[in-house]
Amino acid sequence: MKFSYKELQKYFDKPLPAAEEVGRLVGLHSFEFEGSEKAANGDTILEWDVLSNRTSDCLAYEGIVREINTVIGTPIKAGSLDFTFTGSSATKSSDMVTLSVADETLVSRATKRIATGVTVGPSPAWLVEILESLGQRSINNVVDITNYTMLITGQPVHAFDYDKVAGSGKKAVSIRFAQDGEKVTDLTGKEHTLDKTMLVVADAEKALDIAGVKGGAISGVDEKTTTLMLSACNFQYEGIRNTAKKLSLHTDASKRYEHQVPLHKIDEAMALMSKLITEICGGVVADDIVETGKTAPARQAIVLDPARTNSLLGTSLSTSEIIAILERAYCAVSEKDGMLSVTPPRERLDINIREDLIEEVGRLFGYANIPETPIEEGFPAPERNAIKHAQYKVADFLVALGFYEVYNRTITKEGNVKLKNPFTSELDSLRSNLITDIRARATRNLAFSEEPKLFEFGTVFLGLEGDKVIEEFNFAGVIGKRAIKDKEKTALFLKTKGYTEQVLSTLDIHGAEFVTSSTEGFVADLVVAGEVYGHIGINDWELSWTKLVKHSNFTVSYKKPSKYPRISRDVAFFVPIETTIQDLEKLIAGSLPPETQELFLFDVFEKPEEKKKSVGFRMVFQSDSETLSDEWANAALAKVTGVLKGKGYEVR
Amino acid sequence: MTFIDVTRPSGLQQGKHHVLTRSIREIEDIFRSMGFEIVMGTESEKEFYNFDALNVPKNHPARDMQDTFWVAGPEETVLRTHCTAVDIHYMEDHTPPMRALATGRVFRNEATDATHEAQFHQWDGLVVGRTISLANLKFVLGSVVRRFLGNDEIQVRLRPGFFPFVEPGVELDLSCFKCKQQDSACSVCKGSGWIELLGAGMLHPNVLEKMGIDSKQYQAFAFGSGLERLVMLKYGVDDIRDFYDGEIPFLKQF
Repeated sequence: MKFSYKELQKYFDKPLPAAEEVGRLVGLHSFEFEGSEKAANGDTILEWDVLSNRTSDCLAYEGIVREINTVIGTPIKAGSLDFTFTGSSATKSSDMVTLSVADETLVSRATKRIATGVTVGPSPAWLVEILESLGQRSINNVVDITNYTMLITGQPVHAFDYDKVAGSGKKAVSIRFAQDGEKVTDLTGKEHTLDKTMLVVADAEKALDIAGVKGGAISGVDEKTTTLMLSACNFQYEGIRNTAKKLSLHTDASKRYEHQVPLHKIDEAMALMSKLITEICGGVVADDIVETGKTAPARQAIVLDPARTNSLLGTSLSTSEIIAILERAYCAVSEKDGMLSVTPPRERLDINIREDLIEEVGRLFGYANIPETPIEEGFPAPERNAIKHAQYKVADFLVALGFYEVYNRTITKEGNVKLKNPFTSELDSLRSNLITDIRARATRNLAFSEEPKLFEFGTVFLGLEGDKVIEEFNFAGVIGKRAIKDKEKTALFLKTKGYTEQVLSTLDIHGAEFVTSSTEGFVADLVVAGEVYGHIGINDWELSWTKLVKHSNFTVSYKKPSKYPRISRDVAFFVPIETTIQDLEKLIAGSLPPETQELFLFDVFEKPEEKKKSVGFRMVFQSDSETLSDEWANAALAKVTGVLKGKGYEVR
Repeated sequence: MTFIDVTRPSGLQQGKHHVLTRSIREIEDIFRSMGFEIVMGTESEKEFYNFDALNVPKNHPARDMQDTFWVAGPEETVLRTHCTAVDIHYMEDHTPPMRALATGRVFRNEATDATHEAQFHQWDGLVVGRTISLANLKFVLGSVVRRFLGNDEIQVRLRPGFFPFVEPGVELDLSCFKCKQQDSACSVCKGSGWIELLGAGMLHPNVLEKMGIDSKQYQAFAFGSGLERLVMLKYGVDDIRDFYDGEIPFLKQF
């Protein structure tokens, strides 16, 4: 909110520090200083971003003046914040208006006061000046007074043209709920359609305004107005907030009500407004007020332990220092047996518990005066995050192999889980996989690399299960290719499979199998312990990371390597082209002796025209107790050859 | 002897970690060295963990539809707007003393531009103990900032702030490492000498009590910071969308 430095100075006897300095000091101890600008008349306008828990007192000159006094220490001019008014007994508000309220929980207090013989015209220069310096327009003296009153006290007030209120003699005014569909045209001429949750000030026939939000055109003050119904009310914050939100109508008044205005401000505002109406508009303001509701309850004392204050802040303030600070903040403090009893001032609705008081002490003592202090108390050694640790290990490994890590967007065009309130209607889904976007990224990166290799770790949203959102943390990668020729497919797939196997190896995951996949866009499924944990394509993959990491198992069953020499034999044979290496391995392994150390494929040669392929396996034997002979090895080989021939395979 | 041209390229080429991963790992390492456990959570959360447990009243502006993404279907489910929700889960599952840092992706329903994306990342943590104070908070965050930015001269300062789940609440700024607080025309600190960084404070007793922690016995501080902004400050990146566009000319610079 913006404040005129010149106007602020009026509330202090002694000169304030320079405007920038006032801005900076309040900015350090109260709320953020947004900056200053020079007004046309040479005044400086200071702007602070008043915190939402201080709007009850500081969206008003009254609050800022007190805050400046608290923070900087400049004494306030005596009486400048005492708002009192004595009206005339010639006019009686109670003879001219009655007031009823539909719901006293929503309208905690409502007041009306009559002013007769008023002359509506231009405002005096000083009032125009202050309004314009804050970017507000001068309308007429009455309206300007109501705006000014709100600026000074923080209490929204309104003036109705009494003659436009229906009825005669004692006019019945109520604060009631609107009807569904009831229309009200506001002071700017805009029509609003209300519903039955919204409050209006109304006469016997019609709504006069949108209560707590904006005045209505129908009862607005103009040059012909001579009698005013002055109004100051207090509303429960939630109702006003809902009304303003539903109507998309946010005003200076609704902003204040939304954060709750202290009840006692009604009296201050009514007094100030009445005084100015008398001085500026002529007329006779009634002494009495018609009112409903309660007055502000007395503030309760809060118990504060100085030791706890110091403990929470990390300071070592004496009790008398703490008391001095709280008294600067207008608290009443008494001490007994080392404990303080602190009563906060009535405008500080944000001070309710001892921690609120501790914040007062801290910010006014100055956070700059609190030194950085290492934590003294001990703490047990934390566990390592296994999922992240595995993720970082694999990321390091892929980066070393030339992969770039990417982050893609969560909110997309397609997905199983949708948003109720997407920002654009097109992007209304949460991604259900990583592969779609990472493939697209790889294609785009062909502009920068012949073979861009990318990977990503990220959360995907698989779908809903009853009331639960099913999320998975996945890991995907892609080797970008411009085009993949048929004859390159197997080699490229084996490269991709190789990366996947290395990932599993990095995580000490054993017993993973690659099974032909039926999932579109992929070639193989990764199966661990009987469950599918991911899919591998010719040049890409996506795995369920969190699930996979659970199978990470680094165990050692140590066997001392044999010192006896190894001996190997090869066998090559033809098989139908679709026979899998895995099946052949199982077949051969089933006929191998226990001395077998290794069995591996060393050659594959396809003859697609004849629908067959030649495969070559090497077997390596070694014994723990003796040197194996050629005869022994030949016999082992013969057994294998026999099994293969028995299957009808042509052994070469 | 065969001539070997030692200047020939080897053909082996490394890739790069994403700069956000690199940065979050550095931050996590700094916190781990101070005894923090690193935790993760789900990206969608029940309203309770994102708002209620954090002392945000039912009708608080923070719950407005316009700031938060709501998931269609399940009741009261949002895309988390901060990682503080993860801290709440942590407090539910552990007993004091505790030190935890939650990192991960968060979501805000805002227009996308050079400084705003619908998804971004945060690092958010807490310390709960018997004597934990605001002075400790200043020390921990000051240390993190100095080490992450690689500059021992950086100072931090606290200013009053307001968040429903902390009291006292503070805003933390760091001293401008660009101009060393000397340049009134500095583009980074706008001449103020300070750069805004994060919100923090002492956990509100309501929050502690809701988590079954006796607020008379224990004191706690909490803090939460955006990641992208800090990274953009450190390296001079000026458009947040670059982090999510996945283009090699950007990725390879870090």
